[in-house]
Amino acid sequence: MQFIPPILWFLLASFFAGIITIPLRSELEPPRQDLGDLEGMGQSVLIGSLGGLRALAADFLWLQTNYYWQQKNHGLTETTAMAVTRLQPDFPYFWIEASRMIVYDMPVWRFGERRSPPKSVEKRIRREQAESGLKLLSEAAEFIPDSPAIPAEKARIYWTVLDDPEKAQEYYKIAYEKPFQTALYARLRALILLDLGRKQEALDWSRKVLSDMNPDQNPVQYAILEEYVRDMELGEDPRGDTTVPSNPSPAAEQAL
Amino acid sequence: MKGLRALWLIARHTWVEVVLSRVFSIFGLLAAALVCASIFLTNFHFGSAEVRFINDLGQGAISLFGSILVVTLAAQLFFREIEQRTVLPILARPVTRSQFLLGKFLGTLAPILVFVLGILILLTLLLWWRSSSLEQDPSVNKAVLPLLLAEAWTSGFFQMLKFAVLGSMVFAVASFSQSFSYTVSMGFALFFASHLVHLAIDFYREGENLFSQGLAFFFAYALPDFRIFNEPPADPDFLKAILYASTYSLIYLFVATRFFQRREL
Repeated sequence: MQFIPPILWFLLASFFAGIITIPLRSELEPPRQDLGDLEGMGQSVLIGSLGGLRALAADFLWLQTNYYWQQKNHGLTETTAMAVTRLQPDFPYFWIEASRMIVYDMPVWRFGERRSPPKSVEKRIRREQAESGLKLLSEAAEFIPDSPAIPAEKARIYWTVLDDPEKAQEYYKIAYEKPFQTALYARLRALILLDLGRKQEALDWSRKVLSDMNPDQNPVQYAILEEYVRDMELGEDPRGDTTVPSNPSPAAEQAL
Repeated sequence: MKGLRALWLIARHTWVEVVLSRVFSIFGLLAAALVCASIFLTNFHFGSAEVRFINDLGQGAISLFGSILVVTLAAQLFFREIEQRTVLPILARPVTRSQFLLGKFLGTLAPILVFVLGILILLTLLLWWRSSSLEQDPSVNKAVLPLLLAEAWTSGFFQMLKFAVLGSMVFAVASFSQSFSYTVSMGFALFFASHLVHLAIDFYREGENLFSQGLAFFFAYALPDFRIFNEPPADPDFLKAILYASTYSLIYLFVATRFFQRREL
């Protein structure tokens, strides 16, 4: 015993404890979280040890992200926004806001002084940023699989940026089927199906959603959806005289 | 029973030492101040309920200050007895070295438990007060108070398990260490390293050759994974967590008693 340093005995005993608790550890350990993207080991060490103070650290880092966003600093905005999502992966807010910065703001920064670049260039840049945003949201789904906001945000990107209504309606369906069953996502899916010319499917979907809804819990949404079903049964567009483009802006989408 | 009585007396004496120590008072007050200050920092919470932010900050205070207390108090109390030679008259009585060490360990952990309970009670009062103040404000995103309190107390319980493991680690190091500063440094190094074992696990899973995989495997399992105690799930398995913490604590305390038996005082 005297020829082996005591610290080594300590590590060996600890390793023995680690081996016999492997089955326990595999059941108890939390989901894997990639802190390796954070700059240097120093930040990983600090952040890994912060525990509940990570919430405060995330909030201050978010303020910093917004400062870089104001400066239109592409690199630092993205880096700090990613760091915030690592600190607080359970909050949909950070994932969604970070993806919105990437998808909607950064293409405009990339256009630079030329605010009206050639269409092909604009399309390519928007597509690249949209794919970055979608990748971020896919990562979010691993940490908060029950959040409807994440697939809904993906649907919005497919609908408004990538002009892919097929994928958009798929993701709105996924968003609706999460816990809390937000009626707005169901209605948006119905509208997209109408735009795709799948009127019967839109009607069947709306009827199914209506039958699942409790009118006392959400009377406004229930009434709107009831009217949608009535209009579709009569062969009319539930949007009536309001001309809604097939790719509405986020503001128009909110108004719906 | 004599053995238990000796254990109890040493633990009680250690308890008094801890409670009267400045370190305990200062860090206890700092933790309480941070928890109370959370209500003034709520403008900085983004995307989460205000009460959840307060809860997170409270958990952070328990984790940070509790860990500092465990490492410094464990090392301080152990080495004070040895440096002042007060351990010699104790061991001259029919008290074994193991009883002395275990008594010290229990006497250190008991005030830490009081610290955790105190902060949790303060946090509960704060959460209850804030939650009822926010009741009339429909624009505020409120988390459900009973769920939040359950979460707070569950997290506090898991933090206590972590402190038990950390404390036993520090005593194990102290039992063969020759200085207080080495023990404290090693204690904090082990504290940080135990939060990073997942990096070793990732390295082991992605290892390209046998040697690097072997090395990574050793480091992945050479230390407890403190993330288990920092991030308990919504429906935790208390029994398995207690078993996990107890296994490590008992093995570290065994190492500590074995080294302390051979130590020259």
